[in-house]
Amino acid sequence: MKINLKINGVWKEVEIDPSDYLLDVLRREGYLSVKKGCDTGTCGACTVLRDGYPILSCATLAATCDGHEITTAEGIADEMEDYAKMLAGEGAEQCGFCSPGLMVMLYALKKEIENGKVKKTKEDIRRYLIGNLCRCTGYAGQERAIFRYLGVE
Amino acid sequence: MREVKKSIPKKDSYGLIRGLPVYTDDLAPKDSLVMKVLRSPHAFARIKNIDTSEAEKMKGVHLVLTYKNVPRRVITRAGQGFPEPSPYDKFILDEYVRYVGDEVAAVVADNERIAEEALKKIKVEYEVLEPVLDFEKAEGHPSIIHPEKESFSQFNIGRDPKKNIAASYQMEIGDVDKLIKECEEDPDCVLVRERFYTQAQAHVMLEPHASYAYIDMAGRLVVVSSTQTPFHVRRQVAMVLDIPIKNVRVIKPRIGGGFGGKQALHGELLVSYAAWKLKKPVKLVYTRREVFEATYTRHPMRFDVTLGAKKDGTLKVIDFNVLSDTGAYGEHALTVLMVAGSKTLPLYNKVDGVRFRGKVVYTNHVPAGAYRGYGAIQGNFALESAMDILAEKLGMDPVELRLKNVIREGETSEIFKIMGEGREGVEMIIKSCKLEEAINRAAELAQWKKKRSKREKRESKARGIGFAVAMQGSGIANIDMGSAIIKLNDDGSFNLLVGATDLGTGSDTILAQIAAEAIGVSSDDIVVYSSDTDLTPFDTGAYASSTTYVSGNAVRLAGEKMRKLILKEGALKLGVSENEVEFDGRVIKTKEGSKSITLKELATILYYTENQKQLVADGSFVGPESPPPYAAAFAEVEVDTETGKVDVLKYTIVLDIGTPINPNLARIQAEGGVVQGIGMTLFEDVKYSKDGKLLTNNLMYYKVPSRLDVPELVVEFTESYEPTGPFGAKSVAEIGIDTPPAAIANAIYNAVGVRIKSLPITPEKVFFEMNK
Amino acid sequence: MPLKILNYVRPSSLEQAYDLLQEDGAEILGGTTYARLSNRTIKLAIDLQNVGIGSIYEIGDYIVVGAMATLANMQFHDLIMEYADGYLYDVISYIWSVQLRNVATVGGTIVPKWGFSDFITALLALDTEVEFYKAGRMNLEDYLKGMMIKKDIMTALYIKKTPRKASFKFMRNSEYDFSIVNVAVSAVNQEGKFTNWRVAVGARPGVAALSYKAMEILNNSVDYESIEKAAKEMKNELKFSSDFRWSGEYRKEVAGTLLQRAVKEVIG
Ligand SMILES: Cc1cc2nc3c(=O)[nH]c(=O)nc-3n(C[C@H](O)[C@H](O)[C@H](O)COP(=O)(O)OP(=O)(O)OC[C@H]3O[C@@H](n4cnc5c(N)ncnc54)[C@H](O)[C@@H]3O)c2cc1C
Ligand code: FES
Ligand code: FES
Repeated sequence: MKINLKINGVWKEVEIDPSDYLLDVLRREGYLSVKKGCDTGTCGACTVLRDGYPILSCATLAATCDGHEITTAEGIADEMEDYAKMLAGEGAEQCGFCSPGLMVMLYALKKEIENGKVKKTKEDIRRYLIGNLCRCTGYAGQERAIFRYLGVE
Repeated sequence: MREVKKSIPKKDSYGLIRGLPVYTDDLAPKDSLVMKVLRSPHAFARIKNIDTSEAEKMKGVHLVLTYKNVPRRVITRAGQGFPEPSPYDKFILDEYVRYVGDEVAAVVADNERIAEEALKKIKVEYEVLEPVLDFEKAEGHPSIIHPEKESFSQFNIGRDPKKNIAASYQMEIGDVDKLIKECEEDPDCVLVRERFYTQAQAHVMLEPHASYAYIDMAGRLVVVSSTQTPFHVRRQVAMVLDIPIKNVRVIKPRIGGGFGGKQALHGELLVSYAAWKLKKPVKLVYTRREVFEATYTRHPMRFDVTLGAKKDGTLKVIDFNVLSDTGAYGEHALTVLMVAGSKTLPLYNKVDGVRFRGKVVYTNHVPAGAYRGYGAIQGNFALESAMDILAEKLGMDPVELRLKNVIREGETSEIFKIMGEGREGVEMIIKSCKLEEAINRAAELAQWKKKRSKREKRESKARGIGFAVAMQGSGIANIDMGSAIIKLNDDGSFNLLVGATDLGTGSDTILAQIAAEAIGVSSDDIVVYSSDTDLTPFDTGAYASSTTYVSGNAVRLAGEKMRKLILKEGALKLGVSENEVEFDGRVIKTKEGSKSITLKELATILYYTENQKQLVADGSFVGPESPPPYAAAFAEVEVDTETGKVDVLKYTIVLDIGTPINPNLARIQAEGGVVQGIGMTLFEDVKYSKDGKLLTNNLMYYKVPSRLDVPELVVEFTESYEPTGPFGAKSVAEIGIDTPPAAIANAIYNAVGVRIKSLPITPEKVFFEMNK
Repeated sequence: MPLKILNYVRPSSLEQAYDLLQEDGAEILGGTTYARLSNRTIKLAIDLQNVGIGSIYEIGDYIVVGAMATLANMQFHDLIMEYADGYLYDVISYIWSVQLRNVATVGGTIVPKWGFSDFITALLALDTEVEFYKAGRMNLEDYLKGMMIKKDIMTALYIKKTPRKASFKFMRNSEYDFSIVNVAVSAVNQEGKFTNWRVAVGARPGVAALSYKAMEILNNSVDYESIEKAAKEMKNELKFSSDFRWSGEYRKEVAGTLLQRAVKEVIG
């Protein structure tokens, strides 16, 4: 079947199988920042935005996204340049496999903080990001960069 | 030092954070055929009949491999230097399947869906055999897991397959039985005898294992793989295909973590064989479930520990008797066992006697292999828990007990010479060791004295603090070899070519820093390319905490040579003798300052106009010894006395890693290691069904620490200078993981008086132990 | 082997959806997050995103939550944030991850009656009803106890705005995990006197159930002794069992502790 997705601002008609999950479709279409880390909705490496909200592309049927807007790390990388520098400044992108998903999440978090939906405290920020696993860094370095980026004491 | 001891960002950070396509699966050609593997549903069985005809007939299926149509060549997938200290006990595909997840057949098809459909069409008839699922009953079990006559070891590793023994080892210094007996009879002596268990932790690197292979324009086989050991992959692929090494090229792109799990070969052999046969690109990307069920785990172990000490705290004797479960295949069986002793026991080098005995048994579990810590973390849990028990029996402060007995700079341990990895070790006088300072500093940061003396108890919460020390190594002495090539470019920049493998650790970056320091230029001018067997020089790979020390030394040597070449060519150009010039990183000038030329000018001249030549320097290094890094760590915990739930509140660790080449990256290595160690201690439970199927086979059930499970981490380095290391450096990759099991177990004991001796320490165990 | 879907439709009315669902092999899609984990074949997958059951509003004494509202829609809705001091807001914030809650639907979370559910336990401690297109409205408890309702569509969740104070407690080892066991407790606050107690225990690992014995004890008196007794009786009344991760015995003991903590939190 064919579906229409607005990916990173551009409408695209995409041929899919009804069984396809969004993760596989996005990777097939060349959005390779979207990673398959677990395929069971846990690691967060496949995080993308749907209509502005972060979702797990491995746990969302592609067909249900027909007519919706999808944003991947490719689509926000320029906007997130400052954050990228801070993360690199901490050396906290180790293998990097979790990094694009985390960046998408952070992009969403920043908006949620601006909308007043998430409080700008360390505790609330960490809870917001709980679904983004990282096996390399032990999280501390990531969080040093994230707190600096969001201006949290 | 200008370029080392400096926190520069990783060289690959731009691409990694933006999510550029840099990992194996991202790079695979779009037209790659897809391989899927049919895996055994039985823990132990013989394939009586396998019918692949239906699958082969399917449109879009290109090849079906079974043991019947692949060469029967016995191998080890361990990914170690040659000759490997692991038994050759595995076939690409075999008539026997030895664990749930073992490979039965492989299908190559146009895409994943067809490959999966085809797997369903393969009919297999199994003769189900009685599996060995309890490692304590494996030795002498009526089921023999490796009855095949072809399996063998390259040298004596104490293997006895008829008894399901994959490897065994023993060594003794002094007469340990006699010392224990004396201690027993001496009223002035205290003895501790305890048994400990550790579990089969999973690596859970975030990128699942992936590889693809294709034929290049010269008809050679190119394998791109998420491997830690490209040169070992090349050797083994060549061996299995029975083609010369020169016809194989292995490339490691960026990889999404390894932690030892990608030291071995998993899939590279199958994709290589298929691509070679079909002359088409073939890729195999493991599912997360396959990573759990069909790659590697940490070796689960049982320790019987005996410690004897004088009432004043002088440790007299240590005895370790170990049983290790290597699962279905014997990869790393002997070496992980030995490291459980060789990288723990020398901590207490002043004993009169020390003995280490151990057997590694085959079972029908997921095979065990290399995993960060590599025996040391298992041994450390046993030794440092036992030390805590001893301290209590002695009525002594656990910190005092360690300070009285730990190894110090200028000392040695006989164990260094006796126990290597799989063979004899090397003598070593410890040239850098700030363990004592680390202990004192960590105790201060953790407020040990204060927190230990007044333990807080509020309602249902009890707090406690625990302590452990640890050591590791830096590469495998006399075995691990790294090498480097540095070439000058016409703009005065350099290419650094290294065989070393960056798993995400940042080794490309720190090697560039070492090169820059040695040449005397800026790291910005070093372009690194690593891990491509056609283009980079040899390196045994990223394991055993070897990269900074071994590969780093090779880079340092190459850098020093390059500096000499620059001075020589500069002098020639300036028309003076070599000892009249100096190089400040940009300009080569005569010492009195009258003549000068920039490196860039010199390079341009050398390549285009005069005296034309390529400046290139190389370096190779084999560690004559393996200087240990050390760590002292304190865990502060809060135990819910009504549920048994343990919260680690704060983890303080002070490490001696020599010079931290890049302090930020070293810190992240330490933090990441600690958190993995906390995972092993508290969360990462491994469960099998009673017929041997791994149940904790996804990230929903196998719990690695989330960010909310991580305590406040306090990490510091007590700097030492290791004279044999590159600019004083030792290793940092593994040492961080070693202390949490014992430090946390000791803290729990301090909090609630309950001693948990088997990992992981689940709330359920703590709860029932408290209510016993 | 992954889930297989042969056909996908997105009907624009409930009626249409219901008719399609009657076809052999037809199934409803919620957020599709959990469906993913099974390996069955769905001949016709029916996506309800356009049938208009995604909103959250008030009718009389009830908050009505459409079955296609996501957990996140629900969590951040003013009605939910306000009711019972934001009890459900808190409960939802502890369910897995933000990314999951942005997709997982209220219907998909209630209909399958999963034992591990935190959400169902939390709802069971309130005065809640579920509504199906054909089967109509019923108590959540009756729904949980009854047979699976097949070939019907859940349209909404009804939460009665009884002035309750509620507390939800769960036991997890890692924070990012399913609950080993969970307990939800609530009572109506009548001028400082707590009546009409509800005590639900879930992830035993069976689906949440009410402990009538505990409720009876608490309805009589809420002192230190009766709280302890309520926990004890609950442990006898409800069935706890083992799965491959945790033992029934452990679940039972912890449930007792959580019950006491929850009650104490409610009475403040
Ligand atoms: C990795 C993971 C972890 C989770 N952890 C937790 C946890 O810790 N605590 C917790 O409480 N929950 C947890 N959940 C469950 C989660 O909250 C959702 O309940 C679940 O994901 C299903 O939501 P969904 O909308 O995607 O349903 P789907 O997967 O789309 O559907 C599930 C089932 O419900 C049926 N269905 C859906 N909507 C309707 C309807 N309107 N009418 C009739 N039938 C319908 C479908 O046919 C299907 O059979 C977890 C889920 C996942 C995937
Ligand atoms: S791949 Fe989607 S959460 Fe892991
Ligand atoms: S950096 Fe490797 S998983 Fe996060």
